[in-house]
Amino acid sequence: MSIEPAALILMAGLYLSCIFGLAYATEKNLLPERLIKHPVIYVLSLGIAINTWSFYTSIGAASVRGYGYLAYYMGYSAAFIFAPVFLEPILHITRTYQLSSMADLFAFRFRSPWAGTLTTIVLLLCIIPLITLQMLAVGQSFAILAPGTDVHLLTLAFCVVITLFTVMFGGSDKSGRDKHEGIVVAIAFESVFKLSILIGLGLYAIYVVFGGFGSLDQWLLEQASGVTRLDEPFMANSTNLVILLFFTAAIAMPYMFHMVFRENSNPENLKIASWGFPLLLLLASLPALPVLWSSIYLDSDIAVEYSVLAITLFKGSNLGTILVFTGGVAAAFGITAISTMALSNMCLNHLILPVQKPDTRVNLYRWLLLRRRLLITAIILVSYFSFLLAEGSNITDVGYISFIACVQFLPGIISLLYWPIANGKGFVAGLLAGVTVWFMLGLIPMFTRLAIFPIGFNPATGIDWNLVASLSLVTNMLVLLLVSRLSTTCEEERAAAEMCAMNTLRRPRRLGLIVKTPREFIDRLSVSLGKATAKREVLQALKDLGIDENETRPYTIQQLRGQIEANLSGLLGPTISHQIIDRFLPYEMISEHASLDISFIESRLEAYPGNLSGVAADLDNLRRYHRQILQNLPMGVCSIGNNSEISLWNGAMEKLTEVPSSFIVGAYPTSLPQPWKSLFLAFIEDNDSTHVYKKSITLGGRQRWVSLHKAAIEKPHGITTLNDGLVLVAEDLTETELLEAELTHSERLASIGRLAAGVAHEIGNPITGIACLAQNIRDETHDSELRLMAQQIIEQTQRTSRIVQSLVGFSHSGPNRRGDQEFMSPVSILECTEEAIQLISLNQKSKDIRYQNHCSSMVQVFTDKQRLQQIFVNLLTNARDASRPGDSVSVTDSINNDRISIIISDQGEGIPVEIQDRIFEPFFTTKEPGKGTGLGLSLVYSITEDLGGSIRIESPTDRVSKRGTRVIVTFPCYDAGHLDNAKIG
Amino acid sequence: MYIQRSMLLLFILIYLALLAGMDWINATSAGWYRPYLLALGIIALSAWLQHFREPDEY
Repeated sequence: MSIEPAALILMAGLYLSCIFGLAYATEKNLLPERLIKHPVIYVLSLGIAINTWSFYTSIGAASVRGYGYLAYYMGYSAAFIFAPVFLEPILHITRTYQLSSMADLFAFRFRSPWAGTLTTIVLLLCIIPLITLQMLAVGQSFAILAPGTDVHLLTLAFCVVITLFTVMFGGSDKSGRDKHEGIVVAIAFESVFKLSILIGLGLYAIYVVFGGFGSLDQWLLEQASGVTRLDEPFMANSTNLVILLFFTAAIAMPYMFHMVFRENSNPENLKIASWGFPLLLLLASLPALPVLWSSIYLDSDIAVEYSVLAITLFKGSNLGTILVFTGGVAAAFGITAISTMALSNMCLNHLILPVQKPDTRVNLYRWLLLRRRLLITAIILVSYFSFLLAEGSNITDVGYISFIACVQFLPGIISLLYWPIANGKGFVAGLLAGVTVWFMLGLIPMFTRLAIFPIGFNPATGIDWNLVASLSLVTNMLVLLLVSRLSTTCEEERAAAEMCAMNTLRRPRRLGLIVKTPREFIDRLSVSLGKATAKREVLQALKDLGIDENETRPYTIQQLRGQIEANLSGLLGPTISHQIIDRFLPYEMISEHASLDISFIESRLEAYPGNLSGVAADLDNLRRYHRQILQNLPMGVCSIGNNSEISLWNGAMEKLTEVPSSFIVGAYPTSLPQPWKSLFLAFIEDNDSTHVYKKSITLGGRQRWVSLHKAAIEKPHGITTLNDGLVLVAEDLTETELLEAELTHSERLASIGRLAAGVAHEIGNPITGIACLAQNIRDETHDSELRLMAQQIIEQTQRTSRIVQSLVGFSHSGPNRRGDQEFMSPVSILECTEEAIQLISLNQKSKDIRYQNHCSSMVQVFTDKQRLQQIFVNLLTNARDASRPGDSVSVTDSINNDRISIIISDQGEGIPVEIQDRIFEPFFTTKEPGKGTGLGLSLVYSITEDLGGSIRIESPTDRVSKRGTRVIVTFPCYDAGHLDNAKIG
Repeated sequence: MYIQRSMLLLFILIYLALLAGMDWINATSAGWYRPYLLALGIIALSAWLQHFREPDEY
């Protein structure tokens, strides 16, 4: 029984053409983006785990351990079902710091280039056997189906196609940071194809080979113990170990790391994958037992690992056999391509770049691209030579050697997330120890078939993989634990550990940078990266952060430094990136006074509220509450760290200064606009005073008064991590100051009024006496000259009486009407102003003046009509007297909330600013002597106050001609309903 | 160390399900698909728990 080699090659070629076509169509945007970025595509792309191990080897595992073959699927599934424990935190770290491989992750976490280099070497040792396994599976399956064919040549052709595919679609990204959507879609298609073949084969086994489920069950019952392997213990020790191997593989194997983290376009996809991927694996695992039993049923003589080929072959279905073979090719293709791609990046970042730095004159991106492509070719070539060496080996053994090497990263992964005490020395020592055990007990016996140690290998039974895995892992963990505990950890490594650890919120301290502007970043980085690359990277980081090229705020500049380091990490790996950044963008000094990065801590806490529970959640709620108190405090609060950066700028401070917190937080006070800059700087630098009272400043043409207070933020006893610095409190006293001025003014007017009343009372009596005597003289004398003189005396006393009457009126604000409810009634403003205009118009002086009344007939105030009219008559008289012939005087009203303003405007000569403060004073007049008493406006002011109103003057209204005056009298509006209720009450 | 409570609960549930399900799985050869049903149940439980997770929770 054999198949034509041409048919096998043709079908495999057809399948590979589809893969190339799909990847090409995706790269050229011929497929809808919605489809490409769909979570299902991401989940299917993780089907890369269904490689030759599960396609072929799981049947072999089932033939030995029964259900134990499921350990492979259980290990992978457990990693995804418990994604929040490992996968999601790692995804978060890799996305934040642009880490593209496990080597990058360890180099970043342990701040050790050796950690990255050693990880790369171990992963090379781990992946080369795995790629070899794929080649062996393709070659051996081809040899089974088409005996006598040149398998070497065929496998070489397979390697060439994989190299082409990887270089075209995986090595075309110049920056090394972009996602490879073409590859993701191609691998997703591959998963669908593999799954269809496996499920189809399972159904074929049940329905075609056995004739249905009933017949299968009957056959199973008829078999002797041990044939079906269903009586093997489900959870044997070896099964547990295999679960652990594949649990680690799901995270650490380069092909999984690449697809899970590097090609993840949306973190939400991983949440769907946490159940979607186990479901995919469940479907893939279903056919294994029926296929195994079919193989036993058909009495196949083909090696049990290749039972999938046996069924259709023995049943004479050539098409089915060719399809199954193509499924095997698909299973080998994806994992080889992705592993090679991931390894090429790791080798470049951790093996090539540390020893060979690119010249700054060459294009860095092209330089990296060329080396990446050469590395892809080299890895596949090495794997091919390994295939030639391992030809004839058992593919299960090759698989074990690979996965046991991979499990050596489990202690590192655990300590990366959950044990910040672990350090680089411990990790390197532990990994070396574990790999040494693996090498001595596993790798050497596998190739030499010699037992170097008395344990682990028996020529009759082979290698005890269970022992090799457990012994190497325990050694690794013990050494990591001991070395980490006994050696010292540098501050930088501790900071990186805190950045990765999930249970700590402490963050590195904030230090000042020597470089102050993005332009300086470019200049400095040009020395290492070349001008063009440096500019591109700095601009990219600015774009990523959404900040301006002219940014100079220290906090933002620090963020820029971090972003550039993260971006360069994606390009050159974290080790080289960190070296470049540390060398060319250094901190000013390592100061013990460096402040905690409060903004960073807060942004982390704000971003992950759901992550906190218990006491941590309570503390966070307390922090939010206190923060909100500060934010909503009706006084401006700002805190300044001891590095002089502003770290808090509350809402009241924003309102007072009109400087948004987004602009000023993270900046120095020198970035504040005037006059705040001078005010704050002078106050901060003044060590003698902690308060500044009623400091007058001019803001937007208006005078304002502020008080400032400051206090040092002291470190509580025993706590050294708290930020210290200064807290400033700014109080806006403008309204208080204006009210005080108004009150003083009123007091002055009141005292003058009282004085005037007293004077009037004292003068009134003698004047009355003089007037009586003068009347007597006028009435009793016949001397005409004396009568004339007496008459003149009477007239002068009458004038004096009027003045005295006015004074009394001013002091009492009206003839005995102050506060008398009897005279209060709803008064129409229109009617009142109209009557006042009528009265004024009677005077000769009003003939050339136009009066315009625009008041609304609907508006009323509850007041004393007579006294209100007195106000309008006085104000209109003043307006008339100030106007030129032909000018107009207008009366308008406006309602704002519950208050009505009556505005009397004229086009007269205006009131000079310097005398505006005095015009309400009694006897102050600008009119010629004898034409005004200086009591009119005083009276108006007094009456207005009595009636519960207010008055203000705006002059000049025309800033160009410096003419015009506007008097605004404001009263509460009349509310009939409210008043009625008040009366009832 | 922070581990989500739902994850801890899931872990215990899976452990208990495996313990309780072992005899049921091995009861007879005719029910060979039983472990897959158990796995399907665990996956469904995982999907159900995932549904209730906060968007920013990880």
